[in-house]
Amino acid sequence: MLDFLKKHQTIFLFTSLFVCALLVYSNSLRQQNKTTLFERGVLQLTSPFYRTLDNIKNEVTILSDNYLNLIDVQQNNIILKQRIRQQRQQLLQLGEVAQENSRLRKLLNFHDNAHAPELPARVIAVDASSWFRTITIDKGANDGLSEGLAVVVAEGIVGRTIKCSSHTSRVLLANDAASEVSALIQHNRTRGVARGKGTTLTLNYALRSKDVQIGDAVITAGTGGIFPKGLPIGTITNITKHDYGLFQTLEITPSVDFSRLEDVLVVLGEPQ
Amino acid sequence: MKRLVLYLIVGIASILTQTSILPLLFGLTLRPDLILLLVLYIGLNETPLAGAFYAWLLGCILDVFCGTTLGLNGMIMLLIFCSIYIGRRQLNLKNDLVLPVATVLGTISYSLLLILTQLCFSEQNQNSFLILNKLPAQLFINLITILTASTLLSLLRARSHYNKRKTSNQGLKIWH
Repeated sequence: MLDFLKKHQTIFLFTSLFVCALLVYSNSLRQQNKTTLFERGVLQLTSPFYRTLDNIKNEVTILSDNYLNLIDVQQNNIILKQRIRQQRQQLLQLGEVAQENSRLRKLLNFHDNAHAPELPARVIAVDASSWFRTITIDKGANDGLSEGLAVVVAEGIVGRTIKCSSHTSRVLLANDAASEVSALIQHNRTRGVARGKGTTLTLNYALRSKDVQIGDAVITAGTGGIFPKGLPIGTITNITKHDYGLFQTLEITPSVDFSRLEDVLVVLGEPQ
Repeated sequence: MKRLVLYLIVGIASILTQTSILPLLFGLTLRPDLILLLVLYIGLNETPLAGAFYAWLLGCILDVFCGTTLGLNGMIMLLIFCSIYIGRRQLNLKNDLVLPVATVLGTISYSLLLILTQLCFSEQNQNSFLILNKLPAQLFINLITILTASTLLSLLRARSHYNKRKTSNQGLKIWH
């Protein structure tokens, strides 16, 4: 027996180590939304390096931007002045719409959800692999962040926080295959689930009978408990209707360019 | 212990490079799998117990910065280490082609194991197409990285060897 064990000791060693690794993985699968001590420790350990690298990157970008900006600053000035004139006019119109909107909201006794506290954060790193879609931001538990908070930019939703250490957090982007967002099509209120697909998203479980057009805007439904209602997700760019079945599959091009994320807003907790 | 610390430092430095510096140069699409390359190196040079532990630990550290589940890369890296360790007994490790061939096989195995694990344990089936689509490009960039790294390492070794010989020759001259 001992001879047999000695002869095959490497195989036994590898098998037992594999079983241990499998147990760790299966345990993590059940607790995906929690940040373990190991993860917190590694994130904590690397955060000073990330901050230093980010600072260096910023300095280099500022230097190069300043030089490039000087080249066509006069032309930019003219264009910007024209744009300001146009936007002043739009602002006046929007002011009128906002006043009308608040009057109607009061009339309907709507709960105003526009004042959820938000925290700005900088993107300091991206996912280590090319197929998962996560980013690391420079705010963590010390700034009031926890797992499962919505992360947004002006163009729409970015994702949700999945791991938090004291000074950094990891965000699962909306276009990752593990991400699911409760969504609805803006013009006809068709409900569905927007699931990440790498570069784009798919809207699953949208009823086949509903009339959907290419170019329709898709927004958050607010029912998942993470994202507030009405935030843009993207626009429909492809419609697939099979010969049978209850649902149609819609492809969404996200409104956010995930490859150029620099600054994001974390929506802290429940809207006030 | 020294080796563990050394591999940890190299591993964390590789991850920092992979997540923070390389995206600036190559964008989000193409980046070499530096941890995979490190595990392949460990597989060709370390003892079974220590090597397996290093590979699993490095994979787990990679998990902190990659994907959503801790242990996924740890398990895959451990399997890759085991395969490399078992296969290395049949190879002439002094041959220069061993590391590039191991890189090709390691990259393919990594992608296939990732797909298989996700199919068996999670619902992220849509990632499979993405991983398979990127496999040729990933293979190419990993191969380029390992060839560049091994060339640089052999140049450094040759230089240090030359310096050692020079000092010993000078010592002999002084003695005579």
